[in-house]
Amino acid sequence: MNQDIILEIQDVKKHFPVGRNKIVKAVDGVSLKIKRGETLGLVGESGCGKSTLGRTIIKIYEPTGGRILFEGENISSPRKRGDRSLVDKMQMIFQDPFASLNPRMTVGDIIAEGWDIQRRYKGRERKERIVGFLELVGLNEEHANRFPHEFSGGQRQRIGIARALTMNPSFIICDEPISALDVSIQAQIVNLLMDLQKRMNLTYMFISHDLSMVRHISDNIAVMYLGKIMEYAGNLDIYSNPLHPYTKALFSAIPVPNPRIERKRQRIMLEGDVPSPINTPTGCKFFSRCSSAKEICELEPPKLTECEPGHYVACHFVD
Amino acid sequence: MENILEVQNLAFSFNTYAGEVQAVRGVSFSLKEGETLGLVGESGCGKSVTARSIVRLNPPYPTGEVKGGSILFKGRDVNKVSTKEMEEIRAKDIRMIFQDPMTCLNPTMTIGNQISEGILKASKNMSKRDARERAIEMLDLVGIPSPEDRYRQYPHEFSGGMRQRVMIALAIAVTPKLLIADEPTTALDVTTQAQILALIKKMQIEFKTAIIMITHDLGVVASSADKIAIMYAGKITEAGPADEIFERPAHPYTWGLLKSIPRLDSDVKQKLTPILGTPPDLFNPPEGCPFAARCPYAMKICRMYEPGTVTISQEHTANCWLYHEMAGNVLNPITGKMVKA
Repeated sequence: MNQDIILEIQDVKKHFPVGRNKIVKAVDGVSLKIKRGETLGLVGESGCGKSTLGRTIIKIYEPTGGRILFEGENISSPRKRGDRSLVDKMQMIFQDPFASLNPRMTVGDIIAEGWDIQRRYKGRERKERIVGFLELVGLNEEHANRFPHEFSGGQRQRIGIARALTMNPSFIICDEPISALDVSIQAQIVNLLMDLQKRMNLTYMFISHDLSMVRHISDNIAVMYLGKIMEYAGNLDIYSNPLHPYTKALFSAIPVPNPRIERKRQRIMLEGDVPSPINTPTGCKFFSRCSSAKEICELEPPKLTECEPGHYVACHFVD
Repeated sequence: MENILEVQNLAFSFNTYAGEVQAVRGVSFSLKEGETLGLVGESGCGKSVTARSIVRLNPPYPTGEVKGGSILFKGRDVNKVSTKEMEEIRAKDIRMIFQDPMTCLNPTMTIGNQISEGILKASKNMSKRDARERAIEMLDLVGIPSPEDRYRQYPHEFSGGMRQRVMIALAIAVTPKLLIADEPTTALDVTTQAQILALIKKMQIEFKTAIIMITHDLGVVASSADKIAIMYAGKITEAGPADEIFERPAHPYTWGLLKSIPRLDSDVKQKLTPILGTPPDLFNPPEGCPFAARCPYAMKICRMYEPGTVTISQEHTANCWLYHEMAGNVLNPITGKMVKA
C-alpha cells in the first residue's frame, strides 16, 4: 500500500430503500483517493450525495457496496456495537452549530465526552486538557462551564471543532462547516481550520456548496452530481480549465463580487432542477440537463477517466 | 425622476422582557422606479426589520415599536395610513418575496388558488376566470413547465427553486411598484440562484418594478443592484452606487467584508483576513461608532462619538471618522490609495 494515501474509497455505494421497489441511489459508485495532509473539496448542489458520501466514509451509514480503505485497512464491513476503533482516527464537523451540540451539556463536558466514554482523563488533567483545546480553537477557560445556547454561531462552530480534535484524529470530514455562519465569521473559521491543519498534520474532506471558499481551502476538488463524481482535479486546474459540461455550468453560476465583471459575464444557465435520485437514468446522470448530450449519453454511463495528468472527467465527449 | 420610496431616519425597537432591542437605529434611503437597492449586512444587523417596516409587518406595539422616522411610499407615510389601506398597499403596490418559500406558501391551498387569490385581492372587479388565466400566464412567465397542470398542485409537490419561482409569480402577478426580496436565494443552490436572479431581473425590466434586495452575499448584489447600502448594528454605514461600493469602498467595515471573502482570482491557501470579534449587542448599543470595537483603524473618538455622514463622491456616503480633517491618513486596502488624497 502506498503510505501516502490516507483514505481510498473504491466504488462506494449508498442506496436507501424508499417505499415499494423504490431506491434512492444517494451515492452510486464513487472512487477517490485522499493523500495525507491534503484537503479534498467535495462540491455539488444539494441532493447530489456529498453529505451522504461523507457520512458513509465515517460509518454513520453502512455502505451498500464498495470498499473503504483507511490507512490501508478495510473498514467497510459493518461494525459491531461499541466498536470505537475509528474514533481516534476520523472525526466530523457538522453544518449546523445549533443542532450538533447537546444543549443540556456544558461546553467542557461536550469537549471531554470522548475521553469520558473511554475513561481516559480525570480530575485536574481532564480540566487542563479541556482548557487546552478551548484555547486551541480561540476560546478560553471560562467558557468551559457555560452551555451552548450562550454562544454565537461562530463560537459554537469552534466548540464543534474542538470536540472533533480531542481524540487526535488524522482525518476530519467537514460537512458544510461554514454555511450557517455570517460572512465575517466564515473567514475566521476557515483560517482556524487551515491553521489547525498545519499544526496537527490533519487531512480534510471539505464538503461545501460555497465554491469560492472550497477553491480557497482545497488542494483537490471533486464535483459530484446525482451520486457520481463528474470531475476531479487539482484546485487551480479545475477552476481555470473545467472540462465537464456540468462543472462549467456550476462554476459559471458563482456570483462574483464585482459589478463590472458581472455585467459582462456570459452565464451557462442550466435548465430545470436536479432530477430526483429515485430511478436515475441508466446512462450519464447529467444527460437530462446537458446541452451537448448525444445518443450515447442516454445509454451508457461515462467512466471517470484521466484526460490530463491528475485531471479526471466522466464525460463521453472529453478526452 | 421622483422617488417612489423614501425612508427617513427610521428607528424600530423590540420591547422584550430583557429590555429594549434597538434593531434599527436611524436608517435613510430612497428608491426610484425600476431601480434596485441592495441592502447588505450580517444577520441581526436590522436589514429584515427595515424591510418589514416598509410594509408594516413587524410585530405591533407593545412588542415592536416605531421609534421614529418616516417611510413615504408614493408620498404617503405608511405609518399614518389605516390598517385597511395598508392591506390594499400590500395587495397591490408592495409585494415581498421571502427566504424560505416553503413556510410562506399555504400548504393546504393549491398554487393556482393562491396566485389567483392575490390577483383578485388586488383588482376587485376581475372575474375568477380572468384571474385564473392571469395566474397561469404568470406561472408560464416565471418558467414553470406545463403551468395548467401545475396550477392544481400543492406547494409540497414543487422543488425549492420551483417554489421560489411560484413566490415570484405570486408577487409580480399584480405588477407591484415595489418588490422587497428578503434573501430570495439564500436557501438555493448556485445554479438555481443564477436562474432566480436572472428571472427577477427579467421581471424588473418588463414591469419597471423597484426592488429592495436584502442579502448577506455581496456576490448576489454585485449582479443585481444599482445601488447598495451596507448595514451594521441597525445603521447604514456606507451607501452608494454599486460600482463605487465595490471598487472604491470607503468604510472599514466594507473593506473588511470585501477582504474576508475569497475571490476567484485570489491566491489559494492564503490566510483570509476576517473581521475579528462579533457584532455588538443591540440591547445596549455602544456609544460612538458601532463598528469601533472590531475596527482596526479605530481611534479614540470612534468609541466616544458617533461619526457623521461623509460624502465621498456624488451619492456615495460613509459614516466614519477617518474622513475627518483631524484624523490621520490611512491606506484604503481595496483601492491601494490613501483615503484622503
